[in-house]
Amino acid sequence: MLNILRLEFLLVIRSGSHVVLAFSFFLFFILLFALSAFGDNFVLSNIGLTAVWLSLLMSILLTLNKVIHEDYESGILDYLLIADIPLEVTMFLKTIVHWVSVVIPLIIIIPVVLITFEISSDHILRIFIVLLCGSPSLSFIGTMISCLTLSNRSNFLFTTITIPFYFPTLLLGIFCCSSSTTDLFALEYLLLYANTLFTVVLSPYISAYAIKLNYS
Amino acid sequence: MKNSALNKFWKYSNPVLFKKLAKIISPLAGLIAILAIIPGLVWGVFFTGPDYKQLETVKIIFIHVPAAFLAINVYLMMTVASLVWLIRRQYVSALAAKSSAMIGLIMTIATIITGSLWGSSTWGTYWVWDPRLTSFAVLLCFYVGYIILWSAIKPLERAANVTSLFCILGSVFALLSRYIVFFIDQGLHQGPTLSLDEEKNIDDSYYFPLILALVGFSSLFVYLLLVRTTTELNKLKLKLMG
Repeated sequence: MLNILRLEFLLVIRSGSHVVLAFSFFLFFILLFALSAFGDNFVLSNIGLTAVWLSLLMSILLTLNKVIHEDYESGILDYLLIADIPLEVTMFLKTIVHWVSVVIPLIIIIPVVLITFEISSDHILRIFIVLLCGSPSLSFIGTMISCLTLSNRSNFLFTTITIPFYFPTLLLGIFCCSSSTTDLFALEYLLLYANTLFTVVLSPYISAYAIKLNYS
Repeated sequence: MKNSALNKFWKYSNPVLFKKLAKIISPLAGLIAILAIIPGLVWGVFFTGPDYKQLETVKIIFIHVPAAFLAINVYLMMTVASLVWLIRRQYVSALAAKSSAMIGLIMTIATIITGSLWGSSTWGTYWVWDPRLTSFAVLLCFYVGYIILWSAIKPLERAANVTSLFCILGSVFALLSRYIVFFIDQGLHQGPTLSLDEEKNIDDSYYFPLILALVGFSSLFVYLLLVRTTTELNKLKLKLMG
């Protein structure tokens, strides 16, 4: 298990072009939103949260397909399929590595981005925590659907059929970020945590099942 | 054999027997559809009085409610059929799910169009982001995704596997987003028109034509489903014969 974790991190460190890609894509996408509301502080502070969530979602979508599909093409997945470690654990670790290497850097830079969007600094810590707790769900749902579409490499197909699965997370995430309650155990926050836990538990099993279906 | 009734049921997963059964049932369902939809709609539209507030526009209900009823229940039926494919590997069930997706999609679009026409006269707007309207938009996305996935993946078995899993996951996530949307906003749309456990439903003069229209739309669905599934089975047979 630790070996897989080490291998994945080594892969990210040595050929982590998609991490840089996701990072720059995120910043460019945010820039697009900011330019579309150029000079209007009211609009800017209104669309800030949406811009952050959507950019995060798009950068996750564009990098996730690479994680599973490259392994499938190069045949690594065949080995993982017959390895001693259950496929569920492997998929869980892979997604965790993706989340740590791609999403965490983005979340760390988000407070800086939010300041440029004229969002008051009282809310930024709360938004940061909401993003930290909500974003694993985006990664895990993405892995699940990416495993479903193994036999078709089209990025366009993957993006189109994944977006409907993101509705619950996106709705809850933006609702929590713009909510006025500061108590982090209010009902909407609890629902967000529950949503994250649900997808984190569900995703590895569905991913492993989908891979096995694709090989049969 | 312990459960002989169940065995008799599963017997029809054999494509030949299924086609034989479909040949008997589908004209019957078509006949019921014609006999229920035409009198139901004529009765509903011409022989009931206008509502005291919404006037004649209330009669959209005779298309809106059956279409919405089917749009939701067709997805449920697809989920069950997908489960049957994943567990028992029967081609009839996978192809039935495939052929009912397009019917469900059209019913969803019909619901949205009739609903927005209705909304334009009663709410004064064609579309609001009300929970019920939003959940239908979500349902539409899942239908479209399902149909796209069927056309994108090539060998039939693999496509059936993938779309079945997509359909089951989709039903979970569609329900999830429906309840979250209801949690965020209570909305403008009225409550359910028909329910089994309530004392007072819609007024009787609307109730009976509505039930007739519901029965008619459901048997229309059965008719279309049987015809489309038979066509898919024939296509598969042609492909297998070369």
